[in-house]
Amino acid sequence: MKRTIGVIAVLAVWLLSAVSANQDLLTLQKDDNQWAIPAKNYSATRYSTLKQITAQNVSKLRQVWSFSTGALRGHEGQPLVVGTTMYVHSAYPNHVYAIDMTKEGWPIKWKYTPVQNDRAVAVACCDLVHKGVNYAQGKIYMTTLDGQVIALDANTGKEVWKVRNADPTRGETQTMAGLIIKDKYIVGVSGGEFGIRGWVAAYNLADGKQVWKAYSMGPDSDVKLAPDFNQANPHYGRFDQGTKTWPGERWKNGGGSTWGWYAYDPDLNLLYYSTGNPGTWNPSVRQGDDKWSMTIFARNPDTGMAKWGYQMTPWDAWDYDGINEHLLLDLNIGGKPTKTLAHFDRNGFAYLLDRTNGTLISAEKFAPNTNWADHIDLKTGRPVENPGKRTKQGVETKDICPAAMGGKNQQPASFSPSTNFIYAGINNLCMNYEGVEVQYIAGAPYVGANVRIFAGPGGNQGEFIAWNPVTAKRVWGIKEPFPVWTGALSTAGDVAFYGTMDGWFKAVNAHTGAPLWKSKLPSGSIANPITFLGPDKKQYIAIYSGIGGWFGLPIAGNLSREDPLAALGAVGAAYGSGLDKVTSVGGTLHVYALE
Amino acid sequence: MTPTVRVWATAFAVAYAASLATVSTQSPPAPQAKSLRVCGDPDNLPYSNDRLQGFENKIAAIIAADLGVEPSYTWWPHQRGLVKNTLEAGTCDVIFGIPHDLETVLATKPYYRSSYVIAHRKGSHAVTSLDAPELKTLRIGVYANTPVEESLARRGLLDHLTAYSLFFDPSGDRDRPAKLLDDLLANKVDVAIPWGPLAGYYAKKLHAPIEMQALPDETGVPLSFSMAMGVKKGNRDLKTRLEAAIDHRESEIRSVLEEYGVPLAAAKQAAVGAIPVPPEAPAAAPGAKAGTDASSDTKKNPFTDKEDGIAAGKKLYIQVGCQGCHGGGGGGGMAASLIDDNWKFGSDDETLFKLIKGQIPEQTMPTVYNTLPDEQVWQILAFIRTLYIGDPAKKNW
Repeated sequence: MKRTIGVIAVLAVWLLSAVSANQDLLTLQKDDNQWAIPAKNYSATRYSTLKQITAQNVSKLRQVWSFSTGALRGHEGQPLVVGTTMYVHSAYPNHVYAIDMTKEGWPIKWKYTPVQNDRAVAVACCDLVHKGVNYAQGKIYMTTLDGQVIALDANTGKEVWKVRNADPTRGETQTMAGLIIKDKYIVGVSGGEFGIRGWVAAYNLADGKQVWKAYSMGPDSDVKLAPDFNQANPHYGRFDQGTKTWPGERWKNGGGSTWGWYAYDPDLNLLYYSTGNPGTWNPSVRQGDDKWSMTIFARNPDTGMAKWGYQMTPWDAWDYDGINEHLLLDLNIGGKPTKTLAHFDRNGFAYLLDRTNGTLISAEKFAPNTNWADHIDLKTGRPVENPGKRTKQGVETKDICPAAMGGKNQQPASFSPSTNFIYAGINNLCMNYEGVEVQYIAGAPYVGANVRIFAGPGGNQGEFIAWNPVTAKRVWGIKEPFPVWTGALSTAGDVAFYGTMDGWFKAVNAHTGAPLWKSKLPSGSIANPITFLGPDKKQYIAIYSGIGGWFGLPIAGNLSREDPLAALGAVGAAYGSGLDKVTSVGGTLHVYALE
Repeated sequence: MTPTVRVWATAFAVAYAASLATVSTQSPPAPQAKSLRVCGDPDNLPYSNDRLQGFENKIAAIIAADLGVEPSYTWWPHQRGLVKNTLEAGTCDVIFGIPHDLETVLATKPYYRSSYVIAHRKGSHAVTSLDAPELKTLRIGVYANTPVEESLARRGLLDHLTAYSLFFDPSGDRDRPAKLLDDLLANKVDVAIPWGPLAGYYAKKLHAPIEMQALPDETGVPLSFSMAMGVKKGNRDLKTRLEAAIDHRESEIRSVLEEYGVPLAAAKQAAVGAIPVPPEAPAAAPGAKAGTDASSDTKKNPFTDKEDGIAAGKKLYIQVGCQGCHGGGGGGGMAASLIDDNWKFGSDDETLFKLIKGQIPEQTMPTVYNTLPDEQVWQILAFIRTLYIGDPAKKNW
């Protein structure tokens, strides 16, 4: 009897702590004075109700503070603002700084640099980027390039615990921010170019213990499929697909990395993320759907069990790495309030799904020159391909759009409930692609394709667009000379913000796309703007500069220009458009306010 | 990897270079000095400190006495820039406790050999082997970027590791080599796998309740290393005199090592080649001579400018994955460009051969090609040479 009470008491305390972690973040993310989780909120809308800065006065925005991160490689992601402290991160070596915004000059409260295995540097696919840290209950949670997951005391920067999630000696690295849900930190892995088998895993916030791990492919028990998996859409595939859609045991090096952005619906208790390209890039050796690569998954974050999964690009032949973000939007579809999920995929299609069960609502080309598929058959969920654009080993298939870098890369979009538009930076890139034979060696690159990347029709390599998710149609677009790889930010002040690789930070009218303001950055930006209220109650906008990422790697890595295939095709694309003539390396955080 | 002596003492790739030549230049013998000028670390017990409490301090005194002089110290942390700022700057003449095959100095014969050890607190988790099944349930403390990490990775134990820094961080208490042992004693890790002399010092000299077991070398991952003294390249006179002193004072040196609890590993062979050579030793390369301490011969690629070799190399370049990181045309990406004049470790055949084979201690390139047959490595290299578009005058192959 006594023991039972003891057990129940322990259980109760444990449940309480689980609930409070969730509550803490649920409360914080609703407070627009702060920016407490990477995507602003679990729905990943990157929208703020702050409106001191408006379309009318944004032209008076001036840089009021800047801070060198001490790292020079590409700076993805965004800082966090919790209370009066800003948490700034950097590209490798993954510095983290706590900045005290209550004092003049915003001094450093603490700085932390993890001890890392520097061999991870050589196996990180596309520059040494990082997408930011997470906060919960007085702790900072982060991943490192070399595969560690670390908890820090948010007040002191001291390590609370650290565990290993990924092993760089097998080509596994980490660049994702991950997401905290209830009492767990959910993280994934990079390494789709090294024949890894991708996964997501959940770690206890309290002690770093791994609670579950769900692979992207393999036996159903590894992929963690719930008994009712895809019940609503059996034609998406249900059981045993993680092995049977691969020749032999190719699934063991099946890729499906999980390095993108995660979202969460607290009412449905579902975690959303998607998996990347199958390994190797040479499609000829893995005929079949290669499930569950290129798949949007909905999982129970407590157990890891998948409720549904929808594969966007079966038998990928283009490296349309499906990891882009998901915006959880409650929309009125055909007169019916619908819980949707919007996803702009690398393959050029903007998907809208019913996020309760994965049912496809629409899938339209947001990248206008997309030509590998004619359309997505909403009944079967499968693309209707253009056979002339399917690549194979030993043949250079030409003029495929979009390029492997996607109709849009990882930079997350924003949704404004005041305009009901999604804002996204996109690419206008096409490619020639040739699969080549490669053997798997653990820890060695397993790419298996030569790719040439160039601007699509029109010559501009990028664009910033507004998209109506209900009509699945573009509203307006602003052409940019380079791919737009910053995330978007939209606010109740009817302003949308984005940045460019040639180093402009821009504000446009959220309704019309009319340019309102721009500021020159010391290096190109591939990061995500945020907004918050300072201790002085003024609204601030912040963004990192720091060129890099896949497209910017030729600049970040100081590569020579002669081999267009270098950096998986980025050398041809970046030097072809003169990126080296407009920007150079640097990692800086910029903060703006009205003058 | 930052090249420091602390790391040298532990770096796993050190051994790979064991059988290769140390290229040294001749210079006139140094004038007889009045003292033995030691480049000492001011704060790195059990090895050395500025109160002369380390075992290397005691050994320096013994060696100096044999030379009929007193030791005098220039203090410089045994970290990045050591050789450049001490031996090469001429501020001192000998560094004690360097791996005997360190290439940036002229090394003496080894005066001791030790190994990594697996250590635990007395009365708990008596693990004596890396293959012990209970390791899967324990917290294991190791230094980052040491061979032990690789050994544990091979056993799927990376999840259980806590990595410690070998570097002293003056800004806080986080990074300090001894922290690994302190954390073991404080029950923050269950087992620690440090370089033997550190654990031995805790057990013997500090009487810490620690028990340990020396670890044997593993295929491709040496865990024991021979330590020597290093002098400036070309200072053969001092090297000869130090080696004579090592011979004269062998038993006294041994007593000091025993006093400090340094776990001694048996030397396997003579000084050169004392360390197990990986299966595909570069010495076996076609057309290459095995290096010796006195030789300055370097290996040459037998396939350079040979059509068949280049064609085979081109195919391999794609097949084994070089293309993935170095680019379809060699322009780089994840990894460095192969077509220009920038060569981090040097552009000669031997250096690049060693790099592909995973034998350069500081390399960050994956070491997974260590099993690639020598012939294939040379063929890949022959193809890479055809991609070069840099200054023809800089070709040294």
